[in-house]
Amino acid sequence: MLSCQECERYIPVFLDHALEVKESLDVQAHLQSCFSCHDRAESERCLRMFVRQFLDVPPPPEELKRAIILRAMQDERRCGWWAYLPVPVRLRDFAIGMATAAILALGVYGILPDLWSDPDIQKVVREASLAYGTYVEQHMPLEVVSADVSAVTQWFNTHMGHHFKMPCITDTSTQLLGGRVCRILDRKSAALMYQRGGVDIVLFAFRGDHISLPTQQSAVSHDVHIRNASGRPVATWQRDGVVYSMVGNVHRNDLEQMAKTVSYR
Amino acid sequence: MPEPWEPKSKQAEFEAVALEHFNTLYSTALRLTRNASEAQDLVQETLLKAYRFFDRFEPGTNVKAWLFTILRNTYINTYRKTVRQHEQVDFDRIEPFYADPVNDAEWLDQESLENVLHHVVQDDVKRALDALPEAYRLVVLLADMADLSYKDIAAIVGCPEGTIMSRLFRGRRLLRKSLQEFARKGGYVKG
Repeated sequence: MLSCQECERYIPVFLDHALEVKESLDVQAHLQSCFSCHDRAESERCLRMFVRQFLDVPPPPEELKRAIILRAMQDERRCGWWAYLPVPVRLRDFAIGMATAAILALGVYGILPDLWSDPDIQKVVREASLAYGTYVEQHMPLEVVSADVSAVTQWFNTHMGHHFKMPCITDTSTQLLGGRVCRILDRKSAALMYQRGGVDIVLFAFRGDHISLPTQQSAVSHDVHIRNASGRPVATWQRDGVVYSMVGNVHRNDLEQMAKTVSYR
Repeated sequence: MPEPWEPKSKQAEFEAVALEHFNTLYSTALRLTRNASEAQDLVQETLLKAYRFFDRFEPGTNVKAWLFTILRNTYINTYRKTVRQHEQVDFDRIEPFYADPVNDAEWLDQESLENVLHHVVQDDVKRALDALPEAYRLVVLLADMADLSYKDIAAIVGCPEGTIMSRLFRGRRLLRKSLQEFARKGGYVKG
């Protein structure tokens, strides 16, 4: 039987019809027996119905709708000179073909980083950058606030559920702010927040089971890989079964230098 | 070399799809742009892009989510830049997703809420929604107006489902607070 507190947490998801069958049945059973939760669920449902009802704008007239759809289709068909070529070549197909050829050429000459051959690092870089955006740029509060490395390490050892060597940037111009637990690639990750010259740096650390980063040959230097995602550089490396990913709006060389100063406790 | 689709059948098929989802697209566009003329332009631009790639759309996949992805991207790339700067969400002023709702004194019971809702007017609802930070407003619109699932919204917005749930929770919570505030200011409820 669910507690009231658990039920309250489930109510929004229950009303969105997004709970699994078992949880849904549990909530239903609880709502039938608990007046307070039932009232709250009804209150939530009532608000949603109300908002929906008031935001429901009268649809535009049928003629206008058809005119908009028609215009959209006609505008798309309004082609250039290529439409008059004897072969059905379209500009976009031509552009796609040219772009593909250019990418292949770059790939052959080794100008492009080995993104396509490293799906794991792509995912790590993308998610680390996304998490950085979420936690830093949107000012998500920290779960542990301390500049004391030992205190933060101890907090993570308690909250990560498993022990691994916590990374620590030893560069003197970088100051530890604290950290929080987050998820990267659907696994629990430590997110250590630092600041360097007013710029936020986040160092993620999570278990690297079934993740293989590229070989030494493709690394920029040592085993640190520098990639860009969402316009910011991400340094990623693997050590003793743990993947480390450092993100910050700094120059990639600075990030690489910082990565080299990381020690493990 | 023949075209991969017959022009007439593509046109007819697209028209049917566009008509089916037009009202929801338009309502969402209107709430995003806050302007009927711009909403029509946004929907037209969305449909133009959708039609351009319609022959590549895989039948059986979620056409509604696909259309809303185009709508959202078009809005961000075209309209939002010209209308206003991106709003920053101040998370410090907002409670965590799983704040203890049992002890939440601001949560009104059904009767009190109905009393509040009885007194707020359509403009209050629009103002409350317009006042939401954009990240919240979009997910609330997609969930509560367009009836899209967490999974679809996550694909449209490009965030994990957990983030969508969190934004929805906070967005609805802010909406509720705003509506209560309107009713309080109007002197319709005590508080």
